[in-house]
Amino acid sequence: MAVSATSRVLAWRHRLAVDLWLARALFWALVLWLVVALALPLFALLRKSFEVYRFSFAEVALEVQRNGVWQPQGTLAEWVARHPLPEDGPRPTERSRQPLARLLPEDVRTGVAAIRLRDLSAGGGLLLVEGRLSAPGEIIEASPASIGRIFIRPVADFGLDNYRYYFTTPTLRRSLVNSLTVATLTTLIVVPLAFLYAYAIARSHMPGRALFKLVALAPLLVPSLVPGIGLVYLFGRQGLLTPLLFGHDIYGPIGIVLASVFFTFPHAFLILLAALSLADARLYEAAAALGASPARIFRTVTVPGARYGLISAAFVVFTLQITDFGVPKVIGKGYDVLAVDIYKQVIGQQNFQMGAVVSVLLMLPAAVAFAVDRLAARRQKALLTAQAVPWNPPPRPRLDATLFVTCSLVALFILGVLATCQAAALFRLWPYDLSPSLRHYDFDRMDGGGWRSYWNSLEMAGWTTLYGTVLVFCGAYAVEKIRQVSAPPRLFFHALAMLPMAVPGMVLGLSYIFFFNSPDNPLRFLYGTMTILVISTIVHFYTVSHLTAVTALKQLDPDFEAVSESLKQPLWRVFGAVTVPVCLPTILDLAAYLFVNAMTTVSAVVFLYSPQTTLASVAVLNMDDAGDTAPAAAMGMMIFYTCLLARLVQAGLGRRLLLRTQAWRRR
Amino acid sequence: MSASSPSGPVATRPSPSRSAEASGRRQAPAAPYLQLEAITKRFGGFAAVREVSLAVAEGEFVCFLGPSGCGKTTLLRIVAGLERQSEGRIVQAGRDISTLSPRERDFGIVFQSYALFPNLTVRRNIAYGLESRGLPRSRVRQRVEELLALVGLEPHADKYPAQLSGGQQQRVALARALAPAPGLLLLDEPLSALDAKVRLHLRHELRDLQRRLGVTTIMVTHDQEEALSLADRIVVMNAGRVEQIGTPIEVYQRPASPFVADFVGVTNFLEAEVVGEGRCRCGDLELRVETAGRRAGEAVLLAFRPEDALLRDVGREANPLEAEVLRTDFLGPVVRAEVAVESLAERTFLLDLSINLVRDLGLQPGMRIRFALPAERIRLFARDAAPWR
Repeated sequence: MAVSATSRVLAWRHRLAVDLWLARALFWALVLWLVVALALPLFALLRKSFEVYRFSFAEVALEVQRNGVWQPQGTLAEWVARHPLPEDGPRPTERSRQPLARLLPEDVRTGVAAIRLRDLSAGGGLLLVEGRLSAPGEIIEASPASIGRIFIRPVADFGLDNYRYYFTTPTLRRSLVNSLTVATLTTLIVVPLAFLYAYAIARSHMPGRALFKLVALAPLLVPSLVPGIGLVYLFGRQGLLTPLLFGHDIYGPIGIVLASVFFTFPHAFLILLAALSLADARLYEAAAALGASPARIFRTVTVPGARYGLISAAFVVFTLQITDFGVPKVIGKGYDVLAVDIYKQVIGQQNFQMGAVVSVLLMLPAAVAFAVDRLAARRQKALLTAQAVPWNPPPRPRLDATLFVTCSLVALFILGVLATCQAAALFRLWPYDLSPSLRHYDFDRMDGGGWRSYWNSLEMAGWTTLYGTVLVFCGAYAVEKIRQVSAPPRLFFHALAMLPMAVPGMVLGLSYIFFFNSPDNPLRFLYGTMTILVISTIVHFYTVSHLTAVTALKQLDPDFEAVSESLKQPLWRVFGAVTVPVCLPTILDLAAYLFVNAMTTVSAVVFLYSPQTTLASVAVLNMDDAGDTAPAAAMGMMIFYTCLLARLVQAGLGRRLLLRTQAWRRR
Repeated sequence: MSASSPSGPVATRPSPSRSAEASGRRQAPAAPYLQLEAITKRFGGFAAVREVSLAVAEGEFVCFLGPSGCGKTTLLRIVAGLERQSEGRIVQAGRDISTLSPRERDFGIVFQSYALFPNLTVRRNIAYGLESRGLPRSRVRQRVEELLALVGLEPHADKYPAQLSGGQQQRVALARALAPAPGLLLLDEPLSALDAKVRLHLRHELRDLQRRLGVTTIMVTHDQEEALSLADRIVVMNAGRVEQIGTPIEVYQRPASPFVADFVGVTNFLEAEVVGEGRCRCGDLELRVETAGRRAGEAVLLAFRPEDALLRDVGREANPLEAEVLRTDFLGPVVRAEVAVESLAERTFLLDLSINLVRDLGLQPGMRIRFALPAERIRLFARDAAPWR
């Protein structure tokens, strides 16, 4: 018996070692995944923004043969100094080629029987002869007749030239000013509006608060392109409400701001709702006891109590607006902003360096906003002391009525935009020909990938939800709970996980092009696949998901793992038996968050989709671009209903799972 | 269930030494069950535990006692393998466990927070450490029932932790830790989250249980009363070091350092200088003490407990002192008086006087009293001993 006990103990120890080894391997795999899917692409982007191409004439030696004698002419740089080029062409890029014939025009060539060029560079490749690159030191000889087959290639260099060019080009600089203008305007409108709305829901006795809350969250379920389309229908050249604009054009800053208000509203609303739902009754009682008027109480207690929420909301809205690409693309027309510039530079002009420069600039406000947001969030938590007594405001009929009217207007705007899109999709030619028709749903006859885009989106969202939830939760678990991994790597991982918040989607997408489409990247096979769309989407929405999971895990007793270990159980046992069941509501929430965002995102994937992997959200963009506005609206609403369904499933599933697995929460 | 019998169902780790323990505990076991050798733990430049050596006999109940931050919890976590010591060796039951992971060691632990799994019932919490060990399910069920009976929680077996009181939760945690019959039980401030009355009750229960099972136990506490009443031996720690290891009576009556004297119980201190065999001078006053080999001229610290002062028959005792009562605090069975001694430049001391005595003397603030300090009750410490406050 003693023997069997010993052998069992030995087998046991072996299994234990494996689970710890697995945990450690899992952690490092997660680190590797964030490095490859985030850090390296961003580095490639940063590098690209400093990449400058120039022709290195000084490293090519020239000899010409006249009358049978070879005459050294020094380097091409010296040659060009003697025989200036007609004029500078556009800024060289990696694709620029300088034909030798341009340096040696015919008038200079007279009497030359042959020329020799020598590549003096250490790396070679300065000369391109019939698609072949010169080796270092190689001498290339040509007759004047065949001079046309020789080209000079630019060499890559690193410097600030791209940035200098950006800031000295007025059209580019103007987008920066435009971006700051519309982002500021949107912030100034959304934050007070969202504050009133959140105040009405958290602190008033206005009727229908639950319904108003649902309406406020509806914009989260559509791509930001949809409000643009809705506004075009409402206020466009033939819009129903166009007279309300008094001759101003919806295309341009007005449209951008209005549509941005629509899609940023729920984000500000959620932050402020959280800030306002924590009211300390003692402060209100003290203020009232000191005889303060309601207005004074509002000014001195309510607003300061939510000040960190206000700061946070302002920065979040600003960042969302300035990094958004869908709205200005649909409704901006000539009003260029940074996000559209990236798209234009990359997709339109193939100028990757300038796209990278704009991307880096776009990351600055996002990074600042992110830092401020984290700081504000920390302070907001500190305001919530354990002694706080919940405050139940008394009914204030006049205030409640005013708030009801305000909220109704906001809700009407949100529902109006969505209803307009739905109407445009369902009628033959809204609002002129109101015969119902499904022809706008015949996506296969339009640009943008047809119905296949929709199914692709579902597939992409499905994989993103599955892998994203697992990755995020395991990553958060590793950071929070795996004691076997020492602190510095955990902090490193945590920092990496925070990074995506500061990286706008466009920038992420572009950095993926630079990284994954580079010829010497072994992962290049991913480019153009469904996989890269899933990876980019998970990374894009990583931070919020990670923080949600970390918050949930922090609420678990830190000693669970130690207890389980002392009871000789492998790590996966406490994970499966305790951590996951206890965190199930959070996990569901994570999954729904990832699904909805994967369905609605445009910015990162717009650079990464291929003809086989077109997505519904991108189809909205492309159909709108091609003038098929009604089908674009129809697809936008398909996304809306799909996301709505996902949230409903989450709520339903959540309730059933809660009943089954969360019985312990009831006392 | 007969817990007194070593072969009873609860003691599933019958060992010859254990049964010997049951009949005559603390009879100098041959080799210590657990041995810590010069354990040091550094966090960066800060040494949380410094060169701690300790031998624990099988079946012994040892308390790590000290103020918060003294390293006692770190030391416990090192024993558990939850922290890895920077230096030193740990031997348990003849096996060097210094580098083993917690799972490869043989112990059960109860944390201050209990860390009960909130989504598992009491029964499943207790069964947690028994499952997936290759035990037949019927055996697991039987063992869980034994433990439920042991801690008296049978009626609550199917409740969730949140539905239990603090004391009940503590018992579940204890049962869970004991379920796999570990050779060593580690308790990290197990009673500190409870209110005073429950704490006292559970303290006795814990002691009984430990005696019945004979499981070697280490408990961390900052509560001296708890340590004095529970432990076979107390390890008093301060700033990562062991100040004293001894039985409760030793620690209380013969503290090894001013720190121990001050931390365990209440102590009056007085700076003095040795003037000769059995004599110390303090200001103009000469006191009779046991100088035990200290040389004349040595700077010392005298220490005595408030209850060591004698107020009756002062004339016949050594070291008679006159003092004025400044304040009295009624503590129930005794009255603690703060007195100022004139011949010591109005130095104040605390004296514990029985209620009877106070009644007899009609003691009240402003009164002058005479008291004596018996020489054998005064302890002497070298004055250059590390500052402890």
